[in-house]
Amino acid sequence: MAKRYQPPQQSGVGQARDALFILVLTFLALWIPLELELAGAEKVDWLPGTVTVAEAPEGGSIVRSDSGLAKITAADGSVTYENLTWENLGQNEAMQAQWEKLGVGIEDAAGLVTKRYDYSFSWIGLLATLAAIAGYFIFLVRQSDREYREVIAEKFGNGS
Amino acid sequence: MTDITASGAKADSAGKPSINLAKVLGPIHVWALGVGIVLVGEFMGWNLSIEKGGALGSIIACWIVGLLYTCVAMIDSEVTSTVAAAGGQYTQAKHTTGPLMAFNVGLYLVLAYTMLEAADIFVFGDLVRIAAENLGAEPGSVDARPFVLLAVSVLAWLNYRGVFMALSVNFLITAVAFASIVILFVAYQFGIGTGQDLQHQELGMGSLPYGWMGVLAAFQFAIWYYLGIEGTCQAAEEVRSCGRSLPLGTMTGMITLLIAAALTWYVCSGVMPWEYLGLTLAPLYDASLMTGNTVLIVLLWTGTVFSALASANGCINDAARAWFSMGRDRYLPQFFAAVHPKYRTPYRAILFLIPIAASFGFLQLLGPVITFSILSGLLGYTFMPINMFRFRSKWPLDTIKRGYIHPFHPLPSIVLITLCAATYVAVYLGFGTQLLAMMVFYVVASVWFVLFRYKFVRRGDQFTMAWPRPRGY
Amino acid sequence: MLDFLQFRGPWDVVQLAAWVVSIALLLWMLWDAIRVSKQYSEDVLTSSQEGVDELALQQDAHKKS
Repeated sequence: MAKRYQPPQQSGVGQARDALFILVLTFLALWIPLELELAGAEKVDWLPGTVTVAEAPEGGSIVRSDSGLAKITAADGSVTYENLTWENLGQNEAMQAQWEKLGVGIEDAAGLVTKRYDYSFSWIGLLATLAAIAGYFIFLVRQSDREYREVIAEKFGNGS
Repeated sequence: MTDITASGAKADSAGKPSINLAKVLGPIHVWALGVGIVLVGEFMGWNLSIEKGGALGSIIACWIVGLLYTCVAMIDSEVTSTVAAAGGQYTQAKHTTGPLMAFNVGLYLVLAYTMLEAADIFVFGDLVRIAAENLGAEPGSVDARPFVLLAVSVLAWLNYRGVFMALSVNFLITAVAFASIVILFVAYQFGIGTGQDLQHQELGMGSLPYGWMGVLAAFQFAIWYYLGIEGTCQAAEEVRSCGRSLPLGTMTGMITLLIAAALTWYVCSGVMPWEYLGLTLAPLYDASLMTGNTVLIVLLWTGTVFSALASANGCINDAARAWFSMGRDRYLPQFFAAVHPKYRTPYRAILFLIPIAASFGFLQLLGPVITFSILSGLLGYTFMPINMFRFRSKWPLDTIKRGYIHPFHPLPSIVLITLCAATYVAVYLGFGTQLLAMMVFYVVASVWFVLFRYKFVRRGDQFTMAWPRPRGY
Repeated sequence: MLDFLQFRGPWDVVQLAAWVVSIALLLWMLWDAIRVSKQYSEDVLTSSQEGVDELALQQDAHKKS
């Protein structure tokens, strides 16, 4: 039988400190991404049809589709449309009926329809993230194995 | 001082009195725990996958992620039918892989469930506020916070007073929530009181607005269709005839969820344009509102509220079991390892986690909370193949009796690890660098465990199963 | 400053009731937990053991067979 490891007894204060540590760490993990404004995929302006993008005079942007529909974003972020029709938004009659049933007007619907995700990403960022996750698991398994051998030796005795 | 005659206290072989968790649950409780946690995902959350990849993309992702979860359920059932302990995957990790892995798996469980619970009670408070305003309260005059606190304290109290009652209630409210989905589907399918037809074709269901990239991105939220079904393992120590009930409850739970997911998607994508559906808070409730039928509206509001409560209830149960088990092994302060002598529940763990969930529910942190929950769940699924390979190689089939043996090993493990990798890519697409920031949390916690915490852990005692020596050690 | 004391409608009563019930339940649990901790020794409360059940017995039977 291997020599049994006798752990120290932990004081009440020590127990409270350890519980608190995990708590604080959790709150930090939630706050830090918010504070650093780390974000993932963002949405960009999108219109049905062939689209041209132009810079507006006062710092905003204009996106035009060949259907005549245009989305104009002013410098202060307010959005206006030109030639806004359900048809130009690529919505057929059935869709139009459902939007109306949901109580969403054409302006609001346009706000939802003309924003789409931009899924372009950096390969380096992706590979680095996957490598970090893989590295983390390799570290876990190896360190665990070291500790596991100790557990088995104490539980079942040395050598089999 | 010590009252050994208290109910639940009994002497072990050495004559020392011991209080253990009550062994009172049957398969329906296992089903209620698993499905109860998850079903809220059909009432809200899953539709974010439509925003990511369109309606068709969402259902494809739903099926593929369903395969991921089927693999998880198969592996879990096999290991758990042999490991009858409250920690579920945490205890599995301790026996198959080792202490540091177990510590991390325990944290995944506690955090995934506590965060999900926070989201549930937040949503519950919001639903009450919405109902109050629909019933004539002045908009902005109703505060959601007292209802958030009410939900968490009533559910925690139920859990505190005994697992049997808590999960029996969960069975009832989960069954009502599930029935509301089925009824809405039947009403739409046969045009009973809905006043409109399902129009998948006309609403452009067949298109992939983002192509296959969108399908991949949709994996991130397709997780919501099932997140938490693996929680059934947490009940292992409290289930009568665990080897039979757990696989039965888990597998029927998985089937229930696949049905619920398909029905939910089918109804919602047949009545709402995908651009709307992808962003709404409660899509099934919206689908009932569109019928204008009061019976359906009330039914679906109830279903949505019940599903949120069932989920929070199951999460309190699971998070407390994981926290308790880690305390029992001294991975966390031993203080949390106490079992209530009368109610036979891990009462200190339940109490400790209340303010945490409530504060996340109060703070407007829903975004990071959901990210953390999904990521923690996913890290846990990544552990499952490691778990399975080590379990089968250390204890081949003929060395210990298993309540359930999953077929086609190692295929499920390989499929699972591949799908996990794909889901990481999807989560990276969605959350980007947030993902790395949260990985830092687990790395720091691991280092802390190795340097400052593991010294309090008894070595050989952690291995509690009556298994023979593992092969190769 | 004392806005919340103003009565604005029946929902105020419901909200107040929610606060009261939640706090009462939380206090009851806290009181019960403290009472139990005083009544029983820490060793008894933390005496639960993992894996003590019929599965362990099955394993023993399996080993013997």
